[in-house]
Amino acid sequence: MISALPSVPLSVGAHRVIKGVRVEHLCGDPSLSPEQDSELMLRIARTALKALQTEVTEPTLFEPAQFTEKEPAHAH
Amino acid sequence: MPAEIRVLHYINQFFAGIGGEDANDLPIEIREGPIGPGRLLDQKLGDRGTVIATVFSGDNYFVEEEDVSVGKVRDALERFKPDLVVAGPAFDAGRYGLACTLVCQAASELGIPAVTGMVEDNAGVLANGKDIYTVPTGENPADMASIIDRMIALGLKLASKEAIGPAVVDDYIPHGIRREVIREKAGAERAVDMALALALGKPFISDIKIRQYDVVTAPPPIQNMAETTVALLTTAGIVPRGNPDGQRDGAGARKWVSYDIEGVNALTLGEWESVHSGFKGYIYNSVNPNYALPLPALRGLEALGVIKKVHNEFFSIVGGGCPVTEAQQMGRGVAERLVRDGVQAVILEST
Repeated sequence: MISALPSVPLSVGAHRVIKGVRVEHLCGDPSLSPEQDSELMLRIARTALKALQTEVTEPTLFEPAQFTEKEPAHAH
Repeated sequence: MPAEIRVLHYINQFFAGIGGEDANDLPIEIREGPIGPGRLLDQKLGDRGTVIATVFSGDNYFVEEEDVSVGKVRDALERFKPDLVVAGPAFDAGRYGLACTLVCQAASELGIPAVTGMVEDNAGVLANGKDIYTVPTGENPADMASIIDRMIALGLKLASKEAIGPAVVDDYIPHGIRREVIREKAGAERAVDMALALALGKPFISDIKIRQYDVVTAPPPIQNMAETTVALLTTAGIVPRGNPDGQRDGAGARKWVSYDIEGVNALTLGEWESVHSGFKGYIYNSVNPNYALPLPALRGLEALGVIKKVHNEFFSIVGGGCPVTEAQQMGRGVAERLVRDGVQAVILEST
């Protein structure tokens, strides 16, 4: 599962947890350019597929590479 | 309440003295007067009541022929017109427990108070526990006498039409209903009292019963992703604009819905919206609903042959504040559909 608050599903025993961006925009980031935003969504989706193909025995977090460092513009 | 109440008792073949598992196909029978533990029930009622009739059945028979069995129970209730129905206790026997709860439900439907007793995780409680009064028991039939005392206490209260108090006070398995009450002390003071009691090892009753979560074994990894159909499930409450199925949010969330996305490459703002009110939904609703359901990315991976296909429908639940029991039921429903449709993997987008 993709979650913006991974500590919650991990604490109740979800097995394959993918870190999403934020609650309000889980699988993308509106502060990015459309191209970067699509790329981010694709990275999250690929991470989810990687998690599905990974053997796990306990709640495990999968983090998509290279999240944007920039503070999103809408965060106020 | 009449001075002496008329009680109808339900037991299984074992407690009726007919036999054990070898007799569990025994069809339902009705006799006048008490049998087995019903004698103890009758004795303990004393001048407060009498066991006028006993209904008994094989455990398998009752649940396998549920319509016939419940029909016969109803006939017996109409014939004997009891003031109270007592079923069991069933302890940890699942089919017996289920039969007891069905007997109690049949009685309630006819306006007859009913009480049963069994362990809290008996299949009967899990299936019908919200609708009936069940005294929590252990697994040991040697506790029969004290359990019957407790079933009588609750049963007499029900038969007298007295208001029933909270589960912890009136000794029944909670129905999961919360009522607003006014306490003498403010919440902060009560919290400190509880913290002190906890620190000193003294007993106290918490306002909230903390649930233990199910432990589920991780499914094995997917071996061949290129041959895998992947479904998408979001808890962001994504629905067609206008919310045609009336999805409710927060604690009102009770059902899952699914929508056809065959041939759809991306969700558009004009056609889709989020009805989740547990967060600021304006980004999903005015910028990009695909943030809650990464359909464009999955379509891209489908086109590349990374996955076989995106399942033709996606699933939508409104997640915020949804009770765990409701979530379990919704999860079961979605899982059954996925199995039926031959889906091998699911990505859950949980906000």
